[in-house]
Amino acid sequence: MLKRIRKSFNPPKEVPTTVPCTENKPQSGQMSPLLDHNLQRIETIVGENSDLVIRRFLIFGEYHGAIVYFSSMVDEHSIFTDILKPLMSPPLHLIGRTIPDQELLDIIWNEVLHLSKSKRISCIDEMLDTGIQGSTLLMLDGFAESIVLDTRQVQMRGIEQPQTEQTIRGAREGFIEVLESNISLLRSRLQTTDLRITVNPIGQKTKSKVAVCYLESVANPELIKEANRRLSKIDTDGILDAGYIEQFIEDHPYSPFPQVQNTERPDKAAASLLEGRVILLTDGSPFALIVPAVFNQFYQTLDDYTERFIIGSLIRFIRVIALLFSLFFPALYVSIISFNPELIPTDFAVAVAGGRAGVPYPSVIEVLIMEVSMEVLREATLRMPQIIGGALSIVGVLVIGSAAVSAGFVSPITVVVVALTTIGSFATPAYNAAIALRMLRFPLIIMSGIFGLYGVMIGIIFIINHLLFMDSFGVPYLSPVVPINKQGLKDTLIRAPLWWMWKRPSHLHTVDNTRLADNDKLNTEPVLNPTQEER
Amino acid sequence: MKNRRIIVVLLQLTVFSLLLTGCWDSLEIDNRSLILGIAIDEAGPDAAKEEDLTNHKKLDSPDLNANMIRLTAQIAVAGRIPLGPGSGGDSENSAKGKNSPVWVVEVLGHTIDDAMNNLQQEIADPRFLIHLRVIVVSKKIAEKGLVNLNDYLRRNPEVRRSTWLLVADKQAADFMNVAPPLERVPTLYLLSMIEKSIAMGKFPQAFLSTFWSNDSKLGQSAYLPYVSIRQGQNVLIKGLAYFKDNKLAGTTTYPMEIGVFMAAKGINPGGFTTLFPVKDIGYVMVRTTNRKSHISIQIKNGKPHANVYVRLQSELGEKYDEQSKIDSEKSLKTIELEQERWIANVIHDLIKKTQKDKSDIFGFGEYVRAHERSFWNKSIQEKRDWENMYADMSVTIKVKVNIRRVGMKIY
Amino acid sequence: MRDTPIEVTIIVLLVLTALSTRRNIVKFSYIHLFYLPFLLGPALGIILTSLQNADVLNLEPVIGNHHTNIMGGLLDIAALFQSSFIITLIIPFMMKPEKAMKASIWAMIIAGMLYLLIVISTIATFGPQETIRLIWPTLENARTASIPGGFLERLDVIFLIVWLISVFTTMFTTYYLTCYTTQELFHFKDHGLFSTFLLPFVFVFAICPHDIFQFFQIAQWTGRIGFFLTLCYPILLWVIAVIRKKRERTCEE
Repeated sequence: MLKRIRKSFNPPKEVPTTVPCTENKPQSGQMSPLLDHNLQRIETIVGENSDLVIRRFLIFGEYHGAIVYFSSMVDEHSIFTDILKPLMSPPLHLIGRTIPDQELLDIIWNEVLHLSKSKRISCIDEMLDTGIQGSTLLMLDGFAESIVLDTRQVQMRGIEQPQTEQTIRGAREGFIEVLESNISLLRSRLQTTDLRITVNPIGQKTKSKVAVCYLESVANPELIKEANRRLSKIDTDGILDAGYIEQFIEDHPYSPFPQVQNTERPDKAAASLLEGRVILLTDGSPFALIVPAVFNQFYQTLDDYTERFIIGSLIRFIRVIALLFSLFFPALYVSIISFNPELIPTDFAVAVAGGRAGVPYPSVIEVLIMEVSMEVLREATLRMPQIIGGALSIVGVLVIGSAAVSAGFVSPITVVVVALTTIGSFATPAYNAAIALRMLRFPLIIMSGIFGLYGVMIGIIFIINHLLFMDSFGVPYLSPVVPINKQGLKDTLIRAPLWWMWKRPSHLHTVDNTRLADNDKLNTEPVLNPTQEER
Repeated sequence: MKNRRIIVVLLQLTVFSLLLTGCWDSLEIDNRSLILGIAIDEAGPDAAKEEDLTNHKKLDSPDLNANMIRLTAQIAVAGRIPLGPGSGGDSENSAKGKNSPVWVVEVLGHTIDDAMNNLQQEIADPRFLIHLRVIVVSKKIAEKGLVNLNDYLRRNPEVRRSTWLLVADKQAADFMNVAPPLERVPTLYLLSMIEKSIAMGKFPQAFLSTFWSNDSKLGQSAYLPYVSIRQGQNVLIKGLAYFKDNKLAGTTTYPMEIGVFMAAKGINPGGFTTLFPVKDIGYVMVRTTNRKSHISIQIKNGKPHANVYVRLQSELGEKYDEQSKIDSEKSLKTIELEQERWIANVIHDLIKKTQKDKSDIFGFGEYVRAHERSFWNKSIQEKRDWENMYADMSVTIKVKVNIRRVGMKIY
Repeated sequence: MRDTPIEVTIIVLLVLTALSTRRNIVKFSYIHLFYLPFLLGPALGIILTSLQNADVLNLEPVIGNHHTNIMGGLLDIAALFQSSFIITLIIPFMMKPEKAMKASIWAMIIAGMLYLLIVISTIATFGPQETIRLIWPTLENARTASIPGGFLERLDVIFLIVWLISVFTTMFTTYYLTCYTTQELFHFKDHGLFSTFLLPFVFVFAICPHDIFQFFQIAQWTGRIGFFLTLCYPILLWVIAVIRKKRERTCEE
């Protein structure tokens, strides 16, 4: 009778999906039904590895089997409880049941193993690829197929505040190096079925998993297709960081300006997904790539949005000024001092002349020397450990500032100009854009040293033309300023109140345009009605 | 193909590096001699012998030799004019001696440009007029004519139009040495004095731009500040110097006339104080705070007639006589009427004076040109025509004064 | 900048223009769109600040004292608008070509207003007689204007920026037009080749005038020739088209 109940309770058998061998793998080999052969082949392919574990055992006390795994990549406890234990001691419903030999694998697959992520693979190379990534390979004697179970567990650090993007008011979580954890951070912020995440391995030796995330109902399908296409074209042996991917998929790799934004913050990533962008997460790198990226993203921070709009607008405005300052202030200074001193008021002109009186070389050289030493100082402080780094900055300021001036090496106004420029470049939140502007300072200084103000203008026109001609994934680089997009303009220099920005920026050509539903009802009705409350 | 690309790039690099070989115009600010102010005087008759010739051989024309000029230039010395507060020791010997912030150089020349070149011969760094703020011309030079100076200044692109041209009553060179304790650089002191007096309402805008514009206009004559030195250190704006045909025609006699000139033109802010006697009250001092004027032209009997209507707002500054009382509207009214009469008289006198010298500084001609077009086109072809016509022009002047404030005291 | 050889100055600007004309027409329009506020804004700023020295009396009588050569002056100014011929190049690429008429009228109005305002402010500051004597009245106007408070003294810096941008965009427009039409004429695929090719010709042409008076003369001549090409020739074509249409209609009947 029990048998009859058991039979009626039998769920329909799952059709097993086997991954066959592909012909273009070099060491392609089908498994042989003999366990010993398979194990030998595995050992020859993998070679000497102290963390390779091959464990033979008897399944249900009768059949020969073995598991193979790399102990540094797996959760061994899960292997013991979820694989070895149910295989070694048969579960209750199988006691007394005779299992025909051909069905052993299927029964194990369907009824015994406790792990959910599993595949059946018959190709040795595929098996080993997954095995290296932390799966356990279960092989049975007499079967040319193996069951591969995902038991991956690697060491990871805890979630902490992102180092490169500090905010005053915002979440203190940052992405870490493990892809699954990052995906969970992202999903917990966008808890909608619209969020699609597809994972592909890239890089022949590193086989890093790259996840492409987008919101189905919002993102432009052309953009998604293009992103996938570019990723598939990457053919290199190693992807060590998201930055490598960025360089391969950019439109204009020779331009100093970045066309892909990177962030360590899941809230920023979620915000850009909502705008219709595509996020690329790489296993092994805490930086998410945001694609496409336009110029005005590089001076926007999360703080602009979490604070109220007046504050956000003012601070953003200051940031833009600092950014522009860091680009052409030294060049302007050089051109005014060397070519056109009539532009400054007379008293100031004479005083500046006084400051420069002792300096032996022209102001171009002076400014260049100062700028280069500031850059060297900056690099030095980056590499130093924290303890020495703090002292170094003080020393740097003292040496370059006071001592150089008293030695007659530079004039005091040059020091002020260079210091202001450096501080201005720190105000740019995006590191890659800040570097671009830092780099461009030097050609501008040289142009201004040769031609004066005319040279500065020509240089600026050149840079602007370059920016105007670039686009990132089909989106013009200077949108929403050019071409003019009214909705996007509300978020460029100022940050308009959230209820004004009820449409998504149209330069991304999103599928769904509206963000806010009903923007009339905000802030107009009183919250509490006193008479009603009393009742 | 790849080789070709490399060759092209190399070629471009060489071409562009050739561009780098010269920073042609680059001249550091401390390698320039910034001339802050110049003073032009007549040189004595034997100056021709003293002159160090640079531009020409010894000229034998007696005409050119007789009219030589002495140019005194004040050059800023780099480094002696600090930005921040100067140290105590410097200010003592700042004006004279070794630590002077400016360097005064004197040269002779036949014309302005000639003198400038002689100047360049004597100083090391190239001279630049870009920061030239003040030019002082002596009365004698102005009487001889400023055509030459104007031509030079107009052609030179370095000269700003906001430079001030002053006419000095005696020696212009003295102005280059004036160094009052308030300001480190004498020229800048002169400049700030003039600009502040404009801000205080004591002088109309008359810098080079206005001077040249007025000079070119057919219906207006040009005017300049007339200055003199008092007590060795202080500079006094004595009046207006007015011109006819680029030559100095005359000056106003007392500073009050500047005030009435500004009243007639409606130039604000007001700032002049008048002292005049009022019947039953004695002497009072009234200060003008606001000026409005309306000038209209009518053609009577083929001659232009100007109606000048001036409205002033004033405040009472001081009364001289202790016994008299100014405590009612009636007494204010008396003062107002008296002042109106008084100012109208002064304007009338000024107009008569300028008519005698045929110099229309008020610009009545411009009003005629603007409003009475056909008359102008018929009679006036060049500036001289208007100057002659101005001499017999009739004027009606009406002044209205409104004393708005009496200060903190009521009687 | 006196000492810099003028050839170098011209070469730098020409190279910049030539490099920028290698792109397609969409980018071309981006450049104009972007630089527009940088032209209008400072220009208006200079005009407004120069108004503090302005005297309305200088503008009267509005008709002018003597009837001089108004027609000649009209033609010279109309010649300045010739650069708007570029619109014939852009219309085929427009998404909404029916708006072209409205857009070009607006463009004329804005440009015309800007010219008018500049002229008014210059004459108001200096008076008509002085303006005649100056070679570059607008430049002098910009120089005299100053921001109150003495912060920026000679505003010709801003003027330089405006002037340089406007020169660049104008040159860019006409250069692009030349390259594109040459490409169409010879049925080439890409106009990038011509942008480099045209460089030496333009350079030689720019060096030609010996001094400023000859330069004025040449400018006047090219203006008049261009006038004929851009106005009379299309009118001729239009007349021919109208005649043809009429003939077709009569043929059909």
